[in-house]
Amino acid sequence: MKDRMIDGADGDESGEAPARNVAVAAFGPAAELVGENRYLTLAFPLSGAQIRATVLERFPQLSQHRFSIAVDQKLVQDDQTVASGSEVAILPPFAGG
Amino acid sequence: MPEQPYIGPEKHLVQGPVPRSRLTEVTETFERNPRVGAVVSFCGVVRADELPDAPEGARVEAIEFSAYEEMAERAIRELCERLAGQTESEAVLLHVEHALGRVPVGEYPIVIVVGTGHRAEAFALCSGVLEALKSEVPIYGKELLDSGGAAWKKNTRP
Repeated sequence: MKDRMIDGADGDESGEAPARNVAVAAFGPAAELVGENRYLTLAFPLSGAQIRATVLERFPQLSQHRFSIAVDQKLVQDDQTVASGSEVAILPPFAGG
Repeated sequence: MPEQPYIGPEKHLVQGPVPRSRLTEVTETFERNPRVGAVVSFCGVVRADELPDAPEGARVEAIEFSAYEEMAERAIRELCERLAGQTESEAVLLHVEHALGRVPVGEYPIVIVVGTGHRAEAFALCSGVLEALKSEVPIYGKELLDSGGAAWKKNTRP
């Protein structure tokens, strides 16, 4: 499991960190759906799938939309474990170029 | 001994359209490197598309670009380093700029300039950087219509 961890674990890896407020940043079309100055309450460590589920619970208006999750600017796959983070980004399919 | 790749500019995201003068400035700089034998460039241009769901006759007049800026800057730098590092050439020079904010029809949202020893690597790197940028960098574009509406741009075709 450890090799799937990203970012540094916050202190003791054996116990769950207490729930904390994490900033939510949404971009492109998701920004219009989610709005600004949003927070999620998360207790790390969490899988990408768990973070996605929490995002959808908090923002059900995203349920019909495709998006990726990034924690502290790193893309997180559903099966990846995130040890800690201070910002969750909601990223719809990219459209640069 | 090949030189270390050059990747520029320091900031890949610029406010407003990428200036047209950039193409010639960067090309001339790359040409001055005595190991460079091929310079390939790509400029994306905003098209006056008619969108499928828009009122008849309405056309795109500009695209408003936005990005998760810090992540996008880093993602562009990383893909450039990865692809330049995989390029076998006596010299690898790479310039990538992407616009933020409003880019009117006919202007450049993106400019890529590549200088290498020979043509095959230059074409491959230029096209590789463009495709990687489209799939790996959190940039968004809102297509603004001359009728007043808007629609989020989707990257659907090559």
